[in-house]
Amino acid sequence: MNEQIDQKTATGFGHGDDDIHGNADRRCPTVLLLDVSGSMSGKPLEELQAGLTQYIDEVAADSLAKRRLEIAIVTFGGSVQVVQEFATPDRVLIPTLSASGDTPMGQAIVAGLDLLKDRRIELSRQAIQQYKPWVFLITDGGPTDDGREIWQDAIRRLRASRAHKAWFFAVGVEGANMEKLQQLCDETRSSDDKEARPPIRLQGVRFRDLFKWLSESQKAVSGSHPDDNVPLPPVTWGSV
Amino acid sequence: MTVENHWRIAGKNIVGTAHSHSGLPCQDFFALTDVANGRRVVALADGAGSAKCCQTGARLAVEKIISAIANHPGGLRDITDVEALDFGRLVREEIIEKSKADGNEIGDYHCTLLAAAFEADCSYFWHVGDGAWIVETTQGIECATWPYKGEFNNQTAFITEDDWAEVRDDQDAKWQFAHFDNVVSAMGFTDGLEMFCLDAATRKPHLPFVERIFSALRSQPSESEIALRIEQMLTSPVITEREDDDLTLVLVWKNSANASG
Repeated sequence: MNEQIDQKTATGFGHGDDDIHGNADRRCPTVLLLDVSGSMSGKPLEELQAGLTQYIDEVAADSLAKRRLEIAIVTFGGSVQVVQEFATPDRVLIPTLSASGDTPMGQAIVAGLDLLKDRRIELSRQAIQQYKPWVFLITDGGPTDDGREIWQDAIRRLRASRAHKAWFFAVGVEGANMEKLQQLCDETRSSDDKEARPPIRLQGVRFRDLFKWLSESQKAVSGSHPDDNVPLPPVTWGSV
Repeated sequence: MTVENHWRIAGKNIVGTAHSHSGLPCQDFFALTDVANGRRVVALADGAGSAKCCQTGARLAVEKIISAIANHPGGLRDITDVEALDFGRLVREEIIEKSKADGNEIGDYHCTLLAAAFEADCSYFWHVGDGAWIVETTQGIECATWPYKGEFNNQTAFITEDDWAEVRDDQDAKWQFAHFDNVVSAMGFTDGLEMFCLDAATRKPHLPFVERIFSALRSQPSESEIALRIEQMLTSPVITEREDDDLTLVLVWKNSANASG
């Protein structure tokens, strides 16, 4: 319409990505706590691996989610490993999961929430706006460290996470101790929190549907304002 | 007596993608005046999404502060702190009157408010809440005001709040105002552009971004050209892939005396 405006000015003032502040995007820290204990071996682990890969690929392909999500991955099976420190989806190296050992769930929660706390402090220091963080726990068993002090530490950290209103989701695969998961979910909710988020029982090994839901939910959240109350898509891959 | 005033002003606001997807209207508003009393005035406001009449609030606030500053007798340099406070009082009276007439609460009209006025040798900036004014003076580029973000960096202040004029310390002021003598150009924006124009860690302008804009103002452009460029920038992927909020940018620049309008 304005022929005298040349190509360069067609972008306004000629801004490119290099002119944008590195901290110009709000962040949504996400911690995945994945059970890779011995009982997950076989089909469940294969499907978990496929679902995880699909999830990272999907959020990395979304223009907002790829810059706003920061994903950390902690696995627990025999030992607890931080297999991925916080990184935006395009920089996440998808781990190859292998299953063995018992289920040190408490230790994994402590490790994941410590990572989250440090990251949130760093983001605040850099004055980067934050969305409510997500903590996503997937297990097919029950904690084998619940008789130890570390389990109480995990409970205390979950309780403390109420303050920043994390989205805490516990997903039980067949065989999971749903009572323990219920206990964890209860700890993340303060008395004035009306939103019940009970543990969800996964149907079969529908990990791909679960991760599809997670990426859709996070794409919706990362495209919103941090104060907005974004409705999440309905859970079709599991039951309460 | 006529006073030479070569200030040019152009601005645009656009509906953020978050609002256009959900069919919500733009909650930002801005307006400006031609030269009157040797002075040009511009104001912009961002209505709080949670307030049901925020669009009306933003419009009333902008219109009232423009008329208050445009009609202020005497030069901009002579505006006292008490008179600056009065600008805010006048805006609030206007909104309170409207809220009573419509059976609403003043909180239904929550909005931030940024205003600026330009005379031949003095510029004046007035601001409540977030967003900011950045100026380019003969000494360089600096922030004339800074967004108020509250204790937890996640809230702001509104002209419609009783404590709008609270100044806890220089770093944490809900209400700010400043005079500058040597302004060459200036930009005012609502909070959606903060992450592009400002470096929160150093509390300074993010120069790579703002310099590109200020440099375009040095070639004696027309107001319509700059308005078009602003619109192009605000709708470009560089911005919209990062920010889905409503966006308003106002630019002010001084064309040299012998330039044709």
